[in-house]
Amino acid sequence: MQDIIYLIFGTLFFFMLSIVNLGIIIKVKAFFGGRYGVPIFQKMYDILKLWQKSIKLSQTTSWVFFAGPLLATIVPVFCFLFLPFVAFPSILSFDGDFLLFVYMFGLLRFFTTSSALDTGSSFEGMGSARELTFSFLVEPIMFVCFIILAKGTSSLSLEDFFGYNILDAWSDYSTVFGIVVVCFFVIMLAENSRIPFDDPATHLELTMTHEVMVLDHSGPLLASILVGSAMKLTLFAILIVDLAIPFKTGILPLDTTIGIFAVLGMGVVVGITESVMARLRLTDIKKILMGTLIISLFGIILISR
Amino acid sequence: MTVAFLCTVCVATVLGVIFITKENKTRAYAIFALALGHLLLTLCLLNLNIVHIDALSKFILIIISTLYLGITFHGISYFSICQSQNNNKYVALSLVIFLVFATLMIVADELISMWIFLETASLACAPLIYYNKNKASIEATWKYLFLCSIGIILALVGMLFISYSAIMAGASDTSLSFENILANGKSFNSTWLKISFVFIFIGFATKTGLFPLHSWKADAYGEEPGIFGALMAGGMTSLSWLALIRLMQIMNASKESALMQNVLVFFGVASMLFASIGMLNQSDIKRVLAYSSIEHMGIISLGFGVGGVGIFGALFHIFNNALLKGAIFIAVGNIKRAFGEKTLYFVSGAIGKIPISGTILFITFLAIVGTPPFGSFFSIFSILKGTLNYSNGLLFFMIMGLIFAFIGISKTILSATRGKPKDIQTGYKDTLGMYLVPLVLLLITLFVGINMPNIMQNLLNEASLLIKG
Amino acid sequence: MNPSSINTILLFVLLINMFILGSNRIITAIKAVAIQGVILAFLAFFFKETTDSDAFLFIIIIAVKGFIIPYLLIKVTKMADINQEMTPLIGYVPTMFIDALSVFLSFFVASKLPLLPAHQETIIVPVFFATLMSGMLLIISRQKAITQVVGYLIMENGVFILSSMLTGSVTLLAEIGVLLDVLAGVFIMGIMLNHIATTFEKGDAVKLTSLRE
Repeated sequence: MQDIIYLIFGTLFFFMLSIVNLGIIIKVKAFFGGRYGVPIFQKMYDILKLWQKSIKLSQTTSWVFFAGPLLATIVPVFCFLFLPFVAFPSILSFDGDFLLFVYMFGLLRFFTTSSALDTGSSFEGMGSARELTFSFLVEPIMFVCFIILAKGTSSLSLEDFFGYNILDAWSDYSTVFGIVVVCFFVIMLAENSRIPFDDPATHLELTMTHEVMVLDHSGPLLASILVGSAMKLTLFAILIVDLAIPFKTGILPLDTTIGIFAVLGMGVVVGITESVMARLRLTDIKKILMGTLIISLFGIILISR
Repeated sequence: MTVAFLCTVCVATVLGVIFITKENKTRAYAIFALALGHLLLTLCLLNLNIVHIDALSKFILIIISTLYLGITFHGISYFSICQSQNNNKYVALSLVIFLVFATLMIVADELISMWIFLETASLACAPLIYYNKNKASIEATWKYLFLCSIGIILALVGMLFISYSAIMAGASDTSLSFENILANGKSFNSTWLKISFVFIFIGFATKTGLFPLHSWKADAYGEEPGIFGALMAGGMTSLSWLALIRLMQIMNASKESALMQNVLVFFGVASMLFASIGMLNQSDIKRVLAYSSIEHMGIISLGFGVGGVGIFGALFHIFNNALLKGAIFIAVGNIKRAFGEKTLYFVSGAIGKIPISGTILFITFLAIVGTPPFGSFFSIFSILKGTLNYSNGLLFFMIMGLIFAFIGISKTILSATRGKPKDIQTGYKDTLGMYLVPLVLLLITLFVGINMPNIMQNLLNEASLLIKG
Repeated sequence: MNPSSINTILLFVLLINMFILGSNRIITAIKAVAIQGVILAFLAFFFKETTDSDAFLFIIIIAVKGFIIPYLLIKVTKMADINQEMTPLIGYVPTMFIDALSVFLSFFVASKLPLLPAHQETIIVPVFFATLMSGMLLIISRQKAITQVVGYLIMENGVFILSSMLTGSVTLLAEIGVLLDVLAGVFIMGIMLNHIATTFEKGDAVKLTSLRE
């Protein structure tokens, strides 16, 4: 019973944190743009509004079209269960769960692109192709980073990665863990289609990567996708915070407060990055992801010698 | 101390003259005066015990001094007659810098300072290649600068590895002075010594122009004026051989000579064969000479590689090669001026057109391919003898190389000197100033061939003993 | 001797190599090499007790590598009106990939070599080999003459890594001499680049192919 309460509260907390996090990014960007910006909870209102609308379906679509948005919400929540949040241990944990963590995103990507292709639109096909190209490069980076963490902390589950011996690992392999933090940051931006990899606010189909895939979704389906993307962003923010703040004070409320503020701080960092950088050209994106992959491989060399 | 002071004053005066005067001729005289001063310095260093230099340094110093004197003497008439319009300020400056740093390099007793001086001397050669300021000379200069800079960086890496092998061995003194390395080399770490040998060999072989790293040579020698070609083919190569000889000394002292011998023999034979085949389809006389230079580097390398009497021969051949290359490049420069071009399409019957320079070219060619009684015959013969002691199969390759080289170079030189001269009017006439230097250099090789002075014999023996360790 | 900070510096050096091989603008590459040189200047402080001569050398290195050489090269680029594009012979991503392979190779080679325990802790020898190879890779994979100079400078930085490891055997004068030689080399190369640009078009080493065997 306690587990179920824990799970429900955890999920709710995660949901709220994601909404606020996204709101903060928008606020920061507005601040840099010299505007006041929308309220922090605007995404929440958007989602509620969308939830009340009806679904408009193309005649060519099948059940696959629903699978994408559905998984968009389910996968981040499911993955959150494996991830400890600062002092809170993870809700589910077993040896090798980081593989599941990585491949849940693979599953999500498969269904997102499939549901985009299901509409038969040429734009969505283009977006899917781009998305898959980038994730083709992102996935190995994530994998390599997790291997580095596994080697550094000599453990095999996400909970232990950020558990008791991460502080020792940091002091032994500070350089390598620094690399991993940088790689995670790049992954966060690339996976969540943020600037400089993709502009979530663009309105031109030709330049879109991720957004073009959800053009045909409407109403509750779009709401689900929005919630999912907010959660995914926050999930990666939590991952980085877990790694970058290895020390714990031992007082649960204090740790949690620090954690929440750190996650929101990641939102600020993302907002600043988006404000000061322009979108990269598609060829440059490949170059940067390739570079990050190579850097993460350096990390493996450094840690295994 | 006084000698160093005097030298500084001399160089400063010459530099001052070069900068102040507006006459090409004055600059040429200034450099010639410097060359005379250098000869004096050489005599001082040889006889008085001012700076401690060994027989090898003495030997190379004699070569550089003689060759430089000849070239600068030729330079007087060259700059005042042929190139009176072309401002020679930077070239004169480069020649002075070359001499200063070449001397410093010869005297240097520490690896890294030797490297620094050699690099500066070779950088000073870049303006000489660029003298004609056309597209081809730019290309040649760029290739030379680039290959040599990269090669010599690798040499520096190798030197640092020697120091690391000393550190690995736990030596108390890890400085890179020759004295230290030669004395303690036996205890150094052999893996690092081998690696360092490879790096240093690549570095200086680029500068010497051995086979796979020769590609700058044909361009540079082909595009620069003959007088500077003489300096580089004779002087620069002798300097880089000195650097390689130092490396050999180190390897012999640390009992790692097997690797060194194999590498030297392999690259020597490869250079000989490659260069002699490369010569066959060349119509440009200077490029043929460049290939001939590669071939002779191969012969010297083979001589050092086979050891024994070959080392004596190789050292002697460095001397002969320097003087003969000096003579032939200057002679070809005269031929080029007489015909206005340097390809066989335009040049033929040089003996008929400019008899003295043409004859000198012909005789120098005979000396270069090793005709008795020139010194080069005896040096090549010694190397041949050393090769025979080393291995019979190698002898076959060496003789093949020599025969091919003979065919290649004679094809070019014979058609350039013999036959009916083309009717090309350039207004060039042989004067004493233009042909005296190659003649004298040729006579010196003839003289050492017929009757080698005792002092030189002793110096060579002493030097080859130093190499053998 | 502080392995962790040395490794961090050397990692930055590797990343800068990677960055230069991936960058498509010449001035960016020149600046990156300058930054690499300056970062490496700090290396000497981690190896031994700092003396006055170290500080002197540090200032000279910063001045030559951080300011004079990039200034010269950027000036040449502007004077000769060299096009900013790198014009690769091998594409950017493949070069980066080859560079990564060369890094792995150098780690492999370095693991086979006998090293002092003090140097085994750090990644100094593999990074030295990798930097040397990156410089060569830049030289062979780009067309323009000026990028070859950049490659040469990367190689020189690689040698500097090695020489800072060998404290005690390389004297102050030798370091300065090497540095001045490099400066002189770059100076002459700069003059030649300018002449190449006026004689040929746009400082292009591609055009330097008329002399053949």
